[in-house]
Amino acid sequence: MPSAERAWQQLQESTGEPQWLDVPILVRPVGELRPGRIVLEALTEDGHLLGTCAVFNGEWYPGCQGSIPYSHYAPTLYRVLLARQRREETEPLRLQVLKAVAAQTRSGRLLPVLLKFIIAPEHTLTGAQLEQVYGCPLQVFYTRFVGISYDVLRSREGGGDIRGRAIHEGYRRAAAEFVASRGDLERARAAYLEGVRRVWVEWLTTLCLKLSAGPLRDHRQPLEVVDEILDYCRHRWEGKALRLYLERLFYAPSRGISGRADRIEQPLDGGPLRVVEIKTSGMDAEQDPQTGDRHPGGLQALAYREILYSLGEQSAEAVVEEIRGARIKPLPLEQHPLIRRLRLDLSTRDERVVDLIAQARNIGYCVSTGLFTGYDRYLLDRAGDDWRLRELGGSFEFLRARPPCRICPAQHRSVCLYGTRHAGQPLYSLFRYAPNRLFAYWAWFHRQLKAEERASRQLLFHLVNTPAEMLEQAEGITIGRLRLVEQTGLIAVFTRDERIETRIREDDRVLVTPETRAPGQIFSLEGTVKAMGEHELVVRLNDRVAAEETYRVDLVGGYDLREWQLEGLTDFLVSAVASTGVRGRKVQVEELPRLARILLGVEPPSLPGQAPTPPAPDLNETQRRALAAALALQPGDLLLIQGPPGTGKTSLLAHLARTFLARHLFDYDGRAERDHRPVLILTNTHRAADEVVLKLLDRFPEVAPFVIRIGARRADMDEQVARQTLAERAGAREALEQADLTQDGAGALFRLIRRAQTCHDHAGIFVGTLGSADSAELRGLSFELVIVDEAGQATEPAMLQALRHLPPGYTGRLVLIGDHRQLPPVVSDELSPPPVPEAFRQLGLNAGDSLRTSAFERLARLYPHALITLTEQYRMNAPICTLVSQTFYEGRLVPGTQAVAEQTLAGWLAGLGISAPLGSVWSGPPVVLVTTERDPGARDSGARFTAGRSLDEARDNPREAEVIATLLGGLVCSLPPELRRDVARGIGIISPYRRQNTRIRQELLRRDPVLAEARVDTVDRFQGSEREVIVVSLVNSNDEAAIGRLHADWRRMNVAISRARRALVIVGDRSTFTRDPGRLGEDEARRYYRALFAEIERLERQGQACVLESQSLS
Amino acid sequence: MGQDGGEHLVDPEATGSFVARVNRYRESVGHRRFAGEDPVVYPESKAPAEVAAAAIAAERLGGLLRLDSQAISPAEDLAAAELDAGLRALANWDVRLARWRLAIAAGYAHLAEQQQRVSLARALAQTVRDLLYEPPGRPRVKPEAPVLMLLPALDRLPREELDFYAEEAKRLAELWREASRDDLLWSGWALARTRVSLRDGEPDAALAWLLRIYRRNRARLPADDPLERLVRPAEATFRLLLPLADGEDEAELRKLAEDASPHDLLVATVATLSQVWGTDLLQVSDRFALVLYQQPEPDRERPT
Repeated sequence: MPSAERAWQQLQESTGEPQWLDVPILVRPVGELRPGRIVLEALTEDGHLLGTCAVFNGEWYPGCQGSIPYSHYAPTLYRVLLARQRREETEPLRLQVLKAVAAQTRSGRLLPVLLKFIIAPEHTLTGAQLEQVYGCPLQVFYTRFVGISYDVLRSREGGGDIRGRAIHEGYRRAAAEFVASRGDLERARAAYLEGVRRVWVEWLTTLCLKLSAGPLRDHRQPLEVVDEILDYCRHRWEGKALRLYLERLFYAPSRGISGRADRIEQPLDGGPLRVVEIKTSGMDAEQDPQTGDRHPGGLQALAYREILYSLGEQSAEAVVEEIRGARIKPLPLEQHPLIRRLRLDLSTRDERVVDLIAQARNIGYCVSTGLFTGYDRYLLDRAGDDWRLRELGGSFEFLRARPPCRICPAQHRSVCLYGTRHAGQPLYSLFRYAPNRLFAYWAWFHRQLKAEERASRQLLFHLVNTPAEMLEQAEGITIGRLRLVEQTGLIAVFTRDERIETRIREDDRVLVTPETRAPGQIFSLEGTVKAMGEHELVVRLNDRVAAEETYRVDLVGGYDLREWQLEGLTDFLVSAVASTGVRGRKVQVEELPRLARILLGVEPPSLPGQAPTPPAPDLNETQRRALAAALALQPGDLLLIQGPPGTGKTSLLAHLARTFLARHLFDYDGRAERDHRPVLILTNTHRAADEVVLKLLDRFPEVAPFVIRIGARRADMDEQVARQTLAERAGAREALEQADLTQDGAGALFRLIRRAQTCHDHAGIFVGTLGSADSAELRGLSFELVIVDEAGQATEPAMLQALRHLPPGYTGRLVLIGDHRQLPPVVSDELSPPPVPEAFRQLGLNAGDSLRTSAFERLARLYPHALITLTEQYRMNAPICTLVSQTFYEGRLVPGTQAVAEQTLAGWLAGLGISAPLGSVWSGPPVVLVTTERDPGARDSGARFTAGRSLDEARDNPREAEVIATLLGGLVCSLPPELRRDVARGIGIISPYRRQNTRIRQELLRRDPVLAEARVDTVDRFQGSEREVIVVSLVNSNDEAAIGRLHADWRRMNVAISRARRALVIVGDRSTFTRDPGRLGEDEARRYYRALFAEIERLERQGQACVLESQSLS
Repeated sequence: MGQDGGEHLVDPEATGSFVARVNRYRESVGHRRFAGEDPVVYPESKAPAEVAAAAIAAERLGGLLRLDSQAISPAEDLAAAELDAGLRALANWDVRLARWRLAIAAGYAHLAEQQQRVSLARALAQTVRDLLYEPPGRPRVKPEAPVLMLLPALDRLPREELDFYAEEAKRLAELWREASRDDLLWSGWALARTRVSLRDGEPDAALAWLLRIYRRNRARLPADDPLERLVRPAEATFRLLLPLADGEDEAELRKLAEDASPHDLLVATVATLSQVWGTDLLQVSDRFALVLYQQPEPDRERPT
């Protein structure tokens, strides 16, 4: 590919003749930005000035004889530049210039004119998104930018997509097995049926949706097509040597598109690659104008072919395999209606192919990122005037004949006026007519979620365009020079001789790529890190890795939570306005439903009342008060319950759920709708949801038939919890395993669905995560009471998911349970929060708040009178409790019982049958501070990998790790060997830095292998757990008194020390935390740290704590 | 003549500086709007030029102007004018123009009553669109639905006006359904399509609709079909678009097609069919036009 300088020169040498360049340049607008004629300053990637250039409407240039009427390039670029100007983004914009010309102006000057280009190729869109733009750009605007989703209170038909999933999964497995077994059809058949079975079990709840249970067609098809698929495999591949790449991520950095093709076939004899997209639904298919046949997936397949082309596979073929009924119909891309309509010639390098992809890509980018409208309420409303978004140009005659309104949520919600037809009362001018406070609230959170999305969509480009050494050394997100030493199934073990220093840790999602390639090519595999060692990395991959010399592993980020959060946020905007019953005019904030007014700070929730409670001898006084207040809650009201560590909020929650269920069952007068249920409990994590189910079943076994754990069985799920999933309750696994799928598969599935529907109809308590609000189990259901557990850890948009299942007009009760003095929500480290408007004080938001401020924290600030705090805790003994209570809870936290207050380490060990004398540290007071202030070797390593903006500064402190290993070695080594493992399991070691944790793990292993049983983790992952012994490694120890961004949030320390039941050891440099270097934003944290160490000293004076010098332990 | 008795010659410098001042306000509002604010334009000082510039900017942006601690909607009269223009366009079946005008009106309107009236007009536009462009009686199409669903949620409009449009939407929808069963009504509906095509400068489309009307009514025409002379050139126009049948002479057809006149055919069709049906077909066609609500009490004119 030519460099920008060379391309620029080439351009000047052929004046007046448009040239195909395909080079990236950076541009900056010059002078006033005007539509139709954009003047730009062009630079190379390294900032070298190339000169001035221009872009004209219609791809015109001086000397050009005509123009292209529906060219989208200039209008879209204008919108993007204008939006960047309004966002005050000053860095230059990257363009991948495809075609340009050096035109001669009337004055004889040479003016480079850019004709075709890809805007901001660093932002990646998927092939499926391109297909969506082609179907309806307005739908992309509503669903990808605004975040409009279906109304979860309206039941939807479904099941068709499960049919497709089953066929996809079966076909994928059958193809892999057929090739691996060199043509064994029976093994391929078994693999296919196993794939179908797995999908049916996993998605049983979706199959239970009302209409899908009707016709059997959907369920029969995956079984009817199996012979055809096997025959097809045999016909295509028998006797041929080839390699299949299944659902591999591949990416074209110069086009800004990525995809996961269903299958890529690579003949080992060197023939062309063949990319296959499998389609089982013709819902949004395109009609061939000549034959009348409908065929889906054209643009997607074309985009995949273009990606392969840009990766050097210029002879790659693309095929859409359509599965209809029991037939497979492979449709070569050349015969697809899209190609035929455009008369594209795929046998040559037809620039119109790139043109079409660029059009969908640029418009999709401009629309889905919000550059088209920003948060301008007028523009947001005007966007809906025309589904073709004519302002952006675009050859709209090549769009689908009509938009796919039938499957568009914006149409279903009556927001899209273009397609609205009898869907309900139209929401005219939704954005302008929403109350100012509601819109400002929506826009503020929306902007933050979109900023996160933007950062993640640029990651692949960053990985491909940054030298691997820099990624490894400066950012810590790449590990190179790895060798594959073992591969068992999909688990691969990589090693290297050098020590691995990285930010990548267990459970991270990674890409594994041969070092001869760039990440994101078809040879990259996606996987999850299972274990990290000093020189070793274990990854679970989604396919087997081919033997190569060396590999690199790149971090590709966590699971994407933004989409459903965006949907929850926008649902609040739409539902709140829609439920006023007023249309066609600006809605006043006072007209919103009461719960919406409470959330927006317009009116306070009621003072907690006191309803009679059923006998609950296992609850303490504050728990009973909270239960009574929740039972007294009126529809449309809110209650906040703060549960500090170990205060039994899950027990309270179980009582609350059970009481509401009983009330619902006994008060039932036969008039309530079947879709109205008593209790929905949503938590921030799967772990917390599982705990709630366990607690419910433990305390009230009689409610088991009424409890449904939302979602499918997970590998790490407790068996008791797994049995509460709908699929397990209906006996899906057994039923499908026993059934002969080829004989009566559909019948067995149908009977299973009926059983599952019966279980579902009788369920009254649903438990799941906030992300499951849109799940099939809950679709169409509203609840009297919605409880959000761990609300202090949920972002505000995530919490809003809970509102979606309150009855229309939010006429249900909402209880948030959490603790804003423990960890805040986890959000992307890349987040740069927008300023908090002064008016947001009415919402309880202050300067510095962001998506990290949970709704619980905000509402607790705003409505302290509506907050009930549980004060009796059942975890920590008295000295540890006092330390936590005095430091973080104004002394209000007390042990719930005398037994808890008096529990000791010696008592626990005695319970295990150990009476051996303990080392001096462990036989003393339960709170120990091992201070390293005077230990010259105990300095932290300094922040590493600072090139990114991660909060984790990757510090470590080898000396502290050594001290901890010495301490714990001393405890364990003195015990009888057969009991060491049990004791080690009762130990937890916490530090905020993952790098330090790795070091501690290695030190512990060196000291005694049994210490591998101790849990070493970050604070963030430890929340919700407890151990008999907790050791906290502070790590930060330096002359600058830098406590780092992780410690700057003092809530981490609260969580860390409150995990301990009987013994707490803090190892670290007290002075680093208590000095005042005058760093901005740390005042509050340092106040807490001073209070913490002062309290330890006070406890020491009372004989309940001791302070040791680290050197004394050597 | 100006007040000073002379010509008002535009001062380019003063104009430039004033327009720049207006643009400064617009730019600033544009920035704030893009960031999600719904800003109000505050004049930077009480100087007349400053207030005038702020007022113009507010008007052009459809925003509010803050004057003497009061928020003013300076474009409210424009909203009313655009609304009236939109409704008038709807009354003569110009849906595209109506939607354009109503979108502008929606951008300008700030008074709740005005906003709801614009919203109602947008629903009426959907009704008129369906009425005009969907074949009469087409299953699953309910032209009245957008209006009927919206009306109960319009709390700031007089009941009289709402009832009027509810009846009007029902009347039009019923007429449209009836047209699928009644040839006279169908002819009136097709005549409306013809008139729209003629107005929009699409003579061939008008001819096509007139031919459809002719065919639908041919059996009713007297033996000496008075329309035939005008219909033949119209038919020739379309015959030329297809392969010729045996015995057809292209030159003859071309000559015949030159005489095709949608306007003449329209006049003749209306006259002939009115006589055949014994009722004025133009009036039947007019029944498909939206009737606008008029405030019957002159002293209760709606505020603008």
